[in-house]
Amino acid sequence: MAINIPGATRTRPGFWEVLWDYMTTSDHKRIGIMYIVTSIVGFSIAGVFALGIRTQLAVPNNTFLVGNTYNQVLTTHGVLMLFFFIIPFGLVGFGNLLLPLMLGERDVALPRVNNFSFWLFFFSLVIYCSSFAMGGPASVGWTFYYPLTMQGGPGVNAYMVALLMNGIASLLSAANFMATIINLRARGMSIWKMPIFVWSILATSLLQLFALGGIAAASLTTLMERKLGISMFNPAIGGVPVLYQQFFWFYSHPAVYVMLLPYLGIAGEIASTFSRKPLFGYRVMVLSLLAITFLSMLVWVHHMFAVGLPETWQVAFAAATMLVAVPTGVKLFNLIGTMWGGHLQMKTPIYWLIGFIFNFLIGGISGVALGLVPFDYNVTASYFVVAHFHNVLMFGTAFLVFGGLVYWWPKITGHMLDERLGLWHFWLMEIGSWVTFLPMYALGFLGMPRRYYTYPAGNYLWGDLNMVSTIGAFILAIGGVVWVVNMIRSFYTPKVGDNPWGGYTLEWATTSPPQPYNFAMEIPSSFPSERPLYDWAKRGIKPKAIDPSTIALPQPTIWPFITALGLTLIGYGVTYGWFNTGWNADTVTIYAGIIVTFIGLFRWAGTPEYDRPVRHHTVTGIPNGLLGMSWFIVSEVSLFGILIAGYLYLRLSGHAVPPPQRPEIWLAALNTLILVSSSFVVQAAERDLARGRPTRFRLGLLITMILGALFLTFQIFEFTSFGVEVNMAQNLWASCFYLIVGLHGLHILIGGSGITLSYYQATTGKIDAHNHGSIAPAALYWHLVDVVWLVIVTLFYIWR
Amino acid sequence: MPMLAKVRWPLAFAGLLSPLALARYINVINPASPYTKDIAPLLWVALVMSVVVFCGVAGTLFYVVHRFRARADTTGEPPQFRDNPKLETTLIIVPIILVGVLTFMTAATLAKVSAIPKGSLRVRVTAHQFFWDYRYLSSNVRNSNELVVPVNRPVEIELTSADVIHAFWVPSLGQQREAIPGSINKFTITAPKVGSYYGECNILCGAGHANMRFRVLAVPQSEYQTFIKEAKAYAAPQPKTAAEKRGYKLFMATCSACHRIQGTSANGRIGPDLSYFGSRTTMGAGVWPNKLKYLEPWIHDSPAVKPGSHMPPFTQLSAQQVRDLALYLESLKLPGLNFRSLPQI
Repeated sequence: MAINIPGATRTRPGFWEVLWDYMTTSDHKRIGIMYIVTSIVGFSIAGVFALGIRTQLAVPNNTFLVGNTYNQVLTTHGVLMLFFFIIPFGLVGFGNLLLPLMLGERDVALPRVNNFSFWLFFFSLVIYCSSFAMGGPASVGWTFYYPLTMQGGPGVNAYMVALLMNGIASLLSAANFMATIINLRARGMSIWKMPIFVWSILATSLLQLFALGGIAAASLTTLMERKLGISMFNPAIGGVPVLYQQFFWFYSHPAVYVMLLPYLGIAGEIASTFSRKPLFGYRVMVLSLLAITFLSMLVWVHHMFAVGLPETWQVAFAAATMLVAVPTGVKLFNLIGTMWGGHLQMKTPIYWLIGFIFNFLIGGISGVALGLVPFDYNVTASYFVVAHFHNVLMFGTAFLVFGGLVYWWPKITGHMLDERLGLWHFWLMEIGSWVTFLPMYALGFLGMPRRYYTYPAGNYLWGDLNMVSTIGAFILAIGGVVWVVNMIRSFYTPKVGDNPWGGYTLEWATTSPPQPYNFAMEIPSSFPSERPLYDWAKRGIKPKAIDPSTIALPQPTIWPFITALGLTLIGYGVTYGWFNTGWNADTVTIYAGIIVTFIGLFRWAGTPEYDRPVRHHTVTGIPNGLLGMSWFIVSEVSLFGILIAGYLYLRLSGHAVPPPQRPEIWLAALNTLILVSSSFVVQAAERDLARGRPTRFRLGLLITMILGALFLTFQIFEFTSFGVEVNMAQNLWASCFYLIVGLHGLHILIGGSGITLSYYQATTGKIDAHNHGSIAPAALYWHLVDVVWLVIVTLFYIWR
Repeated sequence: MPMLAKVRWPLAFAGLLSPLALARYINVINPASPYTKDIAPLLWVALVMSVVVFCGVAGTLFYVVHRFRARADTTGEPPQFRDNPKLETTLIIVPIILVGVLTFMTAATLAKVSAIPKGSLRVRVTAHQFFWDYRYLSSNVRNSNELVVPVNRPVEIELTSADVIHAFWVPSLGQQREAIPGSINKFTITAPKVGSYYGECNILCGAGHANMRFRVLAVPQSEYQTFIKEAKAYAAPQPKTAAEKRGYKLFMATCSACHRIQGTSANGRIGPDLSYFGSRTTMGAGVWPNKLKYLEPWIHDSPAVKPGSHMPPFTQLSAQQVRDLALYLESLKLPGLNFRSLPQI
C-alpha cells in the first residue's frame, strides 16, 4: 500500500483503481468501511422488504404478497437484517475500524486473513441475493426449521451455503480479534486499561467462537440431508426433529448477544465522552459483559418452551433466562451512572444513547416476561415476540448503530454529520419505531400469530393496529432517507479537526481519517486508566512524532480475494448441483472453484506479508498466526462437540441403533496409527526447523502429507464398502457416521492442505530459521484433527 | 334538540363501539379462562415488578438528562468519580432477588398448569399441511378442523404432526404447543364457556401457514354427548335430490381417494375428514364460513383461493358439477346438532 504523505498532491483515483485497492487491501480501516457499507446495503434491502411486509399486512385479506412469495420476503428480511446488518455492523464493521486504533496499533493480528474474511462475507451475501434470480430465495423463515427445509427449491441450499460461508468469515474475524486483543496492545496498556468497546469486541468474539458451531451444525446437517439424504432429524428413520432446534438455538440465542454486546461497548464510549466523565463502574461493566457471554450460552431452550421438553429443563432455562437480565440491567444502570453528575453534551450521539436505554428497558422487561414459561406458552411466536425482538434489536441496538456511526463519522470521513438532520433522523426513527412496534405488543395479546401473510377482517382491533404499524414503518423509511441524505451531504461540508467530540480513547489521537499506518507517533506507555487522552492531557504527556516512512505495512495482495472467490464458486456449485452429477455447469463451477481456491491459497502462502523483513512487538511473544489458529480451533471443537453431542443423544436414547454390519475396527485402528504417527512426525519437523535442519524439516512435512493421503484413501475405501452394506439415508446410525466421520475427513483435507502450503513455502525458500511461514498454525490444526479422530474412533468404532 | 345534544356523545361512543362488539375478541389472557386464572398471580407479580422497574429506571434516566445536561453557562469539568461500590452491589442484588421470586413462581405455576387432571377428555390432534385432524381416543370419533369439546371439562390434547412442524394455539384458552412429527406433545385446555374459539397454526409450515386455522367448539355436556353418540353411529345420509345424487357419484369417483365420508366407500386419509361437513361452521381450515359461495371456488381451484393448498385444482369440472359436489357435501349433517349459532370467542 502506498503511503500517503500529507500535503503531497495526488490526483483522484479512478473507479477501477479504488476497487483494486479494496480487493487487495489489508488495512483494517478500509475493511471495516467495506463491512459497514455492505451492512448498510443489507439494511436497506431488508428495510425495503420490511415495507413490503407492512404493506401486505396494512389491511385484512390483502393480496400484495401472498403465500410463498410473502414467506420469501419474510425470510430474506430476517436473514439480511440479522446476518448482514446487525451482527456484522457492530462486530466486524466497528470492530475492524476501531480495534487497532483504540489499541494504538497499526493493524489487526492477521491483516490478510481479515481481507479474506471480508470477501467471503461479501460473497455470502451475493450468493444469498442471487437466489432471487436463480429459483427464488428460501421461504422457510430465517430459523429454517426442520423438516420444512426439506420442501422447496434451491433457495434453501443458497441460504445454507451463505450461512456456512458467513460463519467461516465470522469465525476467522473473531479469532483474529482475539489474537489482536491479546497480542497487539500499545506498551503499557493492560487489559484493565482497554476501552470498554475493546472489551465488548472481546466478549462478542468469544461468544462467536464458542457458540457459532450450533448454527454451523444446523446448516450443515440441513444441507447434507438435502444433498445426500443423510439425516439426524428424520423421524422416518428414528431421527428427532427437535434436535435440529437444539442445534439452531444453541447458536441463535447467543447470537442475540452477538447483536448486542458490541453496541453496549459503543454505548459506553458515547456515554463517557458526552458526559465528560469516566465510565461508572468500569470493572463491573467488563465483568457483566463476560457474565452475559457466559450466561447467554445457557438459555437457548427458552425459544423452545412450546416444544414440550421436561418441566425441570424448562424451569432451569427460565431461571438462566431471567438471570441474564441481571448483568444486562447492570449495563443500563452503569450507563445512567456514567451520565449522572456529568455535563451532558446534547449532540446526536447521546440522543441515540438515551433512546437506546429507554427502549431497551421496555424490550428487556418484555424479554423477562417471555421467560415466564406459562405466559410464554400464551404469546410465543405471536406478535408479542415480534414486538419484543424488534424492541431490543431495531429500536434497541440499531439505535447504537446510528449513534456509533454519528460519533465516529468524523474519524472515518473527516467530516461531521449535520446536527439538525441528525435530530430529524433520531426523532423519525424513535417515533416511527414506537408507532410501528408498540402496537405489535397489543396484537400479541389479541392473538395475532407472527409470519401470517393474511388475517381476517373482524378480529377485534387487528385491522386498526396493523394499519397503525404500517404507517409507522413508513415513518421509519423517511427516517432512513434522512439518514442517507445526511451521510451524503456531509461530504460537501468542510473538514473538521481530529477530535471534534473530545473523545478520550486513542483513535482520537490521530488524524481524521487516519493514515494507513494509523499513528505517526510513538504511543506513550503511560495508561493510568482506560482514558489515555484525558490522562495524558492532565499529566502533560505529549506523544513523540515519528517519521511515517519508517513504518512498514503489509503489502497489498489479491490472493486472499481470489481464495474467497474460489470458495464462492464452490458454494454456487454446491447450491445448484453436486460433485457427481456428470459434466454440467454446476460440476464445472465446483471443480473450477476448487482450482481457483488452491491457486489463491498457494499464491497467498507464497507472498510474504511484508515486502521487507519486519520485527514486530507482540504482548505475549506468541506468533499472531499461532494465536489466531488457537482461537479458531475453539470453534472447530465447538462444531464437532455439538454434532457429537447430538449423536450421543440419539445413541443413548435408543434412536440410533448401530446396524449389525459395522465399519471394520482393524481399518480404523490402522488409520489411528497413521494419524497419530503423522502428528509426531509434524511435531518432529517443527523441531527440526527450529534447530536449523531445513532438509529434515521438508522431509517431515512430506511424510505427514503422505500419511494424510493414506488415511484418506483408507477412509474412502471404508466409506464405499460400508455404503454397499448399509444405505446411509435409511439408517440413523449410518447417517450420523457418514455426517460426523465425513466432516472429519473434510478436516483432514483442510489440515493436509495447510501442511502442503507450508511444504510449498519450505521448498520455495519462504521458510527459514527466522521466518516460519504458516507451519505453526498448520501443525496445530493437524494436531486438532488428530485429537478429534481419537474421539471419533472411540464413539463410532470401539463403542459397539 | 337540547335532549339530543345531551346524548350525542354517548351515542357517538356507542356507534363507534358497536362494530367492535360484533367483532371476534381473542385475548391471550382471557380472564374467563381457567388457564389465565392459574397464571394470574404470576402475571400480577411480574406486572407490578415491571412497572416499578420501568418507572424507576426511566424516571432516573429522564431526571439525569434534565438535571445534568450541559447548559450555556456550564464550565469546567464535572466530578470525575468512577464508581460507587455500595450502589452497584445493591443494583445487582435487588434484580437477583426479583428474578429469584419470578423463577420460583414460574416453577410453581408451571407445575400447576402442566398437571393433567384425571377424567380429562383425550383427543389425538394431528396437524397436516394445511389442516387439522382430530380423533377422540375414547370413542374413536374423527373430525377435521373443528374440535367439539364439552364446556368446563379439561381436554387433554395429544398433539403430533403428519409432515412438518406446526403449532396448536387457541389464544383465548391459553397454552400452546408445537406439533412435531414422530413425537406426541401432551397438554390440557379447558373452555370456560360455550362458544366457538378461534385457533391458529403458529409455526411457519409453508405457503398455507396463514390459512391453517381451526375452531374449538365448546358446547354443553349434553350436546357434546349427543355429538359423540351421533358421530359414532353416523352413516352418511343417502343423497335425496337429483343434484345431491350426481354430487355423490362424482365424489366417489373423484374425491374419495383423499377424503373420508363415514358410512360410504370414501375412505381416503390424505385430506380432511368430510363425514359431517354440512355440520361445520367453517371450511378451508377455519378460513371461510361454510357457505356455497366459498365452497364452490374451493372445489374448482383450491390452490387459487388458498396458496399452497395440496388439493389439486379441479378446473375440468363444469360449474354444474362443482355445484352438485357442494350441495352433496352440505347435505352431510349430524342430526339434531347445529353449531352455527355458537357465539364467536
